[in-house]
Amino acid sequence: MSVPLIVTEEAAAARLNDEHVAAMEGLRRARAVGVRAFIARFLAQPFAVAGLVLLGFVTAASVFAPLIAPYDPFALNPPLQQPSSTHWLGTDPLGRDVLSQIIWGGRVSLAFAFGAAALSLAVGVVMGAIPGYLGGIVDDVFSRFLETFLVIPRLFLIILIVALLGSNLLFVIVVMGLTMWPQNAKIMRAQVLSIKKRGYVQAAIAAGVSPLPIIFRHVIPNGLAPVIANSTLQMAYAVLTEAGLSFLGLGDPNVTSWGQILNAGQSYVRSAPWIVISPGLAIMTLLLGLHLVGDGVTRVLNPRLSLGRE
Amino acid sequence: MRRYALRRVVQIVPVMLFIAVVNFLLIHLAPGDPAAALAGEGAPQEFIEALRVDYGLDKPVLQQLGTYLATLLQGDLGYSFAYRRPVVEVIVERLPATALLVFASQIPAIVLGTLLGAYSARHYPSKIDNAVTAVSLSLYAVPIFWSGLLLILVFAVWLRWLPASGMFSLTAPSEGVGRFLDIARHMALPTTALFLYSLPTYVRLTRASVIEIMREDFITTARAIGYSENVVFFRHALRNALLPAVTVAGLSLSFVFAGALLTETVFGWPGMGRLMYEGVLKRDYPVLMGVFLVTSALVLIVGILTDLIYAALDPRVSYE
Repeated sequence: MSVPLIVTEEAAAARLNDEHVAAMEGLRRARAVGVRAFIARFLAQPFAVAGLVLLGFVTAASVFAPLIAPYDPFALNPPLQQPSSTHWLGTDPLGRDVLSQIIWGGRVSLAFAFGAAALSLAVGVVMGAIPGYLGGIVDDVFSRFLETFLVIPRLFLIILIVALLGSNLLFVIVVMGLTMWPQNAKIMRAQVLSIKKRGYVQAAIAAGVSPLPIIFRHVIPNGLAPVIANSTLQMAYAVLTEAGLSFLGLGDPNVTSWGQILNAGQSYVRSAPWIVISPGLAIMTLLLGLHLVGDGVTRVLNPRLSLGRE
Repeated sequence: MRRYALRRVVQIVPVMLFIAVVNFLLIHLAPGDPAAALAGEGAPQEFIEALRVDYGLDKPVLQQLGTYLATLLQGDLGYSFAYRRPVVEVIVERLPATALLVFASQIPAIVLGTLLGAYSARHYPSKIDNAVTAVSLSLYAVPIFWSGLLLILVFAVWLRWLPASGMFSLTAPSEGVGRFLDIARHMALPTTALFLYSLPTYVRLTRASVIEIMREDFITTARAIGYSENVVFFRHALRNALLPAVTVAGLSLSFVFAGALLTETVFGWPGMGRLMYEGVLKRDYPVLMGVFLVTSALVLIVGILTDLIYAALDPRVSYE
């Protein structure tokens, strides 16, 4: 095989380009294989699959809420009805059908799970990767900031913000996302510190690629896994915190949520216990689903960790 | 070690500063007049005007922040109009009830949780270990305000064994054994709720920590030397696994306080968390900010203490 020693600039550029395209294609294929292997190993765990089923159940109920909810969740029927054939889970002190409220309430919980965790993921990844990659004084100052933020009791901060600034659904989701991201940033930063020493990043630096493209094309995709595992925990945290806020009376009055049903029913534990029993079971179902899926993801990503059955 | 301790203690300054600035920003971001937000809802106009002068709320913003920080530094967390008393007094009065609840629930939770976690890890992998994992994962998924309501339903409403809320009965003796028993009866349910809420954390921490240690080289070495599996487990693995597990527990106080807040709300337990809830209901913002500040300080101080004790106990840890 003869390699031409003298090449024109165009030919050299074309060859470099070909190599680059081939390399990127190889990378894409490797990632596709990785994703397929990940899914296979995830599905091999019975607990994780069970979690997926629970999540799917709640999601399906929420998506099809208008079709399956027997009543409008705000419609006022006779109050404090016991569970019966007309109201399977009874009615609350205002006469709202509990089952319909639970079906519609799933939407709020899922909005918090996905909305807050996605915001926290996006902000956390960027805010962890950039200072971690740049290093130096930026990283030092930023790390101090993260440490400071992580010490603060989050629930108390969120209650304070919501009490002072309002309980609008979208606003509270944003508040939650913006109070959760430092945890993701810390995990991402730890990842970046090890990734930036690796060959492919060093090669990109040597080739003169500027920091931002390196961060977004090489560092972040390769360090994302543990942050995603943490995100399932953050989803559970967001669901629980929303329920807690609503239970304390800080829910958005324009929507129905599981915590709000508990809030309405807590004074009636003696006379109408059915109001508080079912929303708690709904919260448990979703949280258990998220925890099982989270454990499953973590175990696939880090087989050394043993959180449960293997 | 001494330098590390000093550095950790100095860390209190930026955290508390940060919290003060957050409080200050929130007052200004709140819809309407900052003076009114600082006063809380229902305060009369004269009170609001007095606050405006005291905190210099008609001055430039940076000067206001200075005044606010200076006030906080003097230990003045503001005045609660709803209670007609300084916020510090109201909070200090509520602290013992929260402390009682936290100690009564966390000590058994830590002891039992670490034992159960270690036991589970000792039998890993096995059916027993799976069962412990499944139970602790399920407990994890129970919202504490809901388990609290269920405890009330079963033990106060159906069985009528225990009181559902409060800390004292009006008819109980006000001193001696009778008072002690009365408080104990009132404490039983909220303590159980907070115990069940914290238990799975300690179980999972210890279990993961022990299993991780069991894979270390020195364990393989100990086995190779011929020590019995029990000696390896108790003398080598458990000893090395417990400390980090318990340390993480000490560092997670903010999680315990969050649980206490919700428990106290459910059971009408007159602690700091209940105070926060009442503050939400009454829109008593000075109390909300005060509780936030005090809780953060407590979390921070306990975190630092745990860290230092850990560093002192574990010779492997060296902080420059």
